[in-house]
Amino acid sequence: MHTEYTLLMSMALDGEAAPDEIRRLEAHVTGCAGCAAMWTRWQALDRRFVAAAWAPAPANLAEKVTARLAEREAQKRRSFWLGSGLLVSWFAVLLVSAAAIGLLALWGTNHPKEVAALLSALAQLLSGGSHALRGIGTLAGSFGGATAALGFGLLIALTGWLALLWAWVMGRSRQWPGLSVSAGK
Amino acid sequence: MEDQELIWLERAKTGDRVAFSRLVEAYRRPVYNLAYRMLGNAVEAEDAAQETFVRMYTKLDSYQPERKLSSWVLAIASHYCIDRLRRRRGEWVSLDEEPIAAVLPSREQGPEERVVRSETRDEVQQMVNRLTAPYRVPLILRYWYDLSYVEIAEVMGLSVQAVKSRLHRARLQMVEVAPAGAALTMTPAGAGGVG
Repeated sequence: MHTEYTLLMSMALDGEAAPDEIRRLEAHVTGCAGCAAMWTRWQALDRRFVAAAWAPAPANLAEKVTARLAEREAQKRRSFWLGSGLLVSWFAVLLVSAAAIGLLALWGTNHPKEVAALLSALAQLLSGGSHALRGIGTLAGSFGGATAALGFGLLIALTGWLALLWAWVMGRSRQWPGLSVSAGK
Repeated sequence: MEDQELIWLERAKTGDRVAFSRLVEAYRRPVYNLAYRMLGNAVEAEDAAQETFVRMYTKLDSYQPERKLSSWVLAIASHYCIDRLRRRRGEWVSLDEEPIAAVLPSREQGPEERVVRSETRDEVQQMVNRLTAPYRVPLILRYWYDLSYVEIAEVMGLSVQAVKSRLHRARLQMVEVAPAGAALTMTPAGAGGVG
């Protein structure tokens, strides 16, 4: 079998071979048994393919496409609200944290024990609050939409804030022995 | 027809869903058939056809009017199907998949002709299923859409030379992978001359 001629066979079947190429192929297959056999097989294949019908498409495809498009747009909106909710929450937490740290730095220098007690109480309050928020988030999530997105964002943001706060408090626990006792409980 | 489709396309770009539905209706058959021939089963083909139209909708603004709309739509469908085939485990499609064509009514009237025709479709689909993804597309576009090398090249984003080579290799591969006796037996008509 000669590749040069099988390529010509393929082109001839596709109607892309020039007349002189077809003549060349005809001349070759009369003298080459291998290529003649291949040519016969390919012609048989070609007829099978030409006879094969189109697969009938479902009649309601347009309606299903419309429904899928609507679903995708709803998904996009949900993603937007979730993203916005997270962004707003984190921004709010950043602002509140910065303000709180600023205040503590100003006032806490002269009142370390009071600050320690206050932080400890606040951390415990937030810890309890995070559980409550998680419950609210789950409840809101069952209704879907922006409320769930915002609730979820707020929950994550507050949890993150709590973790940062705890890290900060624990980092200072050696300076404030009173706090280390309550934190260790 | 193409002019009318371009009008629908322009309307669809502005968010007109009715106009887009008309486009879907116009290309429902070719897109579904391409997906079915590429993927080899009806459920995946329907999903792929829907996804093709969703992608088409999101890309409406990128359509270039100098390009044939049908080529553009088929290009989206074929690229999506190739991606889908690549995501499958390996490059080969399971031979256990039952092609829908075997149970579909044909255009022939007589029951015997119907049986012969469905057997042909079944056998042909099995052969397509055994080809690797890059060879399926040109073969399908060539036989079911009667596209020239230039048109196939446009759909696939390849050179004409590459299309020529892929069709050649697809045929070689078909002979290698065809089940024993399938479509390869010499028939009296098959022994004829060139062209």
